[in-house]
Amino acid sequence: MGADIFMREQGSIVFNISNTLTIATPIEGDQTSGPNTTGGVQKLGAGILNLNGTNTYSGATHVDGGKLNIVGNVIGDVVVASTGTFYGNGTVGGSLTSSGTLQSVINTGGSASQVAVTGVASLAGTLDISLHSNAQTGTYTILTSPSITGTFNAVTFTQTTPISYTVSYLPAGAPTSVQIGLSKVNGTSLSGSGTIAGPSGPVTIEVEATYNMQNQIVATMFLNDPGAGVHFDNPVVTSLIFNGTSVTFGGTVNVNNQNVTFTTTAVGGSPGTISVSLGNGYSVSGTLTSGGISVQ
Amino acid sequence: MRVALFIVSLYIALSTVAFSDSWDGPYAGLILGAQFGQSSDTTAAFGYNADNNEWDYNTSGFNAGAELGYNYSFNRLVVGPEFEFGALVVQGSAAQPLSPGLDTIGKSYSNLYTAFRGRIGFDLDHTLLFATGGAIGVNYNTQVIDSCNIAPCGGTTAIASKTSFVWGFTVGGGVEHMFEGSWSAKLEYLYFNLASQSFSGITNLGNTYDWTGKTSGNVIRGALNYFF
Repeated sequence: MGADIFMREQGSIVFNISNTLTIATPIEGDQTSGPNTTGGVQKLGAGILNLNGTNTYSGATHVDGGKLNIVGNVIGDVVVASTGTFYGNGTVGGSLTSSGTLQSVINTGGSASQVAVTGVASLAGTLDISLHSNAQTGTYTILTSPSITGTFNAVTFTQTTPISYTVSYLPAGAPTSVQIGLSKVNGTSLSGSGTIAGPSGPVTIEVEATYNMQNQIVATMFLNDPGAGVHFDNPVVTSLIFNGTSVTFGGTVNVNNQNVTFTTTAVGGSPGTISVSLGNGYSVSGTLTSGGISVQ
Repeated sequence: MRVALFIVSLYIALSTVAFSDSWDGPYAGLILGAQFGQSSDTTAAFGYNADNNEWDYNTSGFNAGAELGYNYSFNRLVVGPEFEFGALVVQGSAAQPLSPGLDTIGKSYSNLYTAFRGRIGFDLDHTLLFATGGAIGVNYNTQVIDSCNIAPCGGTTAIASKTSFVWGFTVGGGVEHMFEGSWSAKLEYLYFNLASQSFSGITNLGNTYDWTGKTSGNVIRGALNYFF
């Protein structure tokens, strides 16, 4: 698309797409019959629409399905339905009403995407934050508006789920900004024990992992899957990576009197999940049915 | 100190002029020698590091003690009981070859012991060739220790230890010579084999594992006896 897209005010463009479509140029209104609220852009379908231009259509933007990314701005209202996801890094010239998912990105360099809403921001639904594991701790403003009403019903994370964070609507009482306070992104210690349901029956698992003062890996694991005839203890752990509440470690271990490689990924939570795969082809994963995994 | 005592006693024995013309009767003496043996540890079917995995190691140590005995002679045949007690050191250790970083160590140690043996000998005119056998009990400690949890070691630590008075059997033989006076000097070999030991330990993750320890050894020693 090399040229701008022009649309008549009061007209509508509907993007019903199932894959990704990127429009780098602006979608412009004809500026002749003045702004109105009957036309606009509607996003349908499970696909992703990227609007990267400085759009000047004045009708509302409806996100009714899939995902709409606006890296730039729109001059009208944005309405996110419960089935839609909206990511913005720019200006919404009208109001923002979200009962779906509002997405934000916090990058490694300490910057966050930010939606500046000129009108009222009415918040509900979910705030989903795509957090880079190397993001720095601190406070990130992800939305501003002269008047914020409501709060997000849920906060979810993709990429990395931080160990501890806060979501604030400031100033209290008459908020004008939504801020994410990241106090600890990645865990530093893992401990857990419990049972998961394996394909051959219950599997008992215990894990511990951290780095000591000399920055050496101190990690171990016990696994007993009597149904599959697999058990081990005392693994040689040579890699350990903390990513938010997720911990991946691996190395070699003696299983049935043979040395095999192993990789374990544990995710802290209530109760937490774990997956283990061995070089001999054995693997098991699941949510703990008893016990729990803590990553701090 | 015990060696010095032995040498002094030997000197006294050789310089004593009185002569006992019979093996008959009670005697008491001192023992000094060395032990060379072998111990092993075996993991259980659900074993630490490896399953049903046995590894061996050599042990050594000294043997020092006192003995009391009684001889009955029938022509050239000499029989009787012998009781001894003192120190028998069975000391050694080795890493389990299948442990990562060779960080899991099996260890043996012993100190006090006692033995009750019977003896049968043939008298070659002041020199007795004898065979012996009986029961031996040793205060024996067996351990499996994994104290390293940094690669290349495995990440788990474990401690298993058991100390008990372990009984077993001993057989052997030797030669004893009666000097002029009431003294004799004895050179003796004993093989002993202690009952296997089942012991368990716990890892830093709280899991319990079982091991079986075995130990046997060879004792070569001298003894100096006084016949009452």
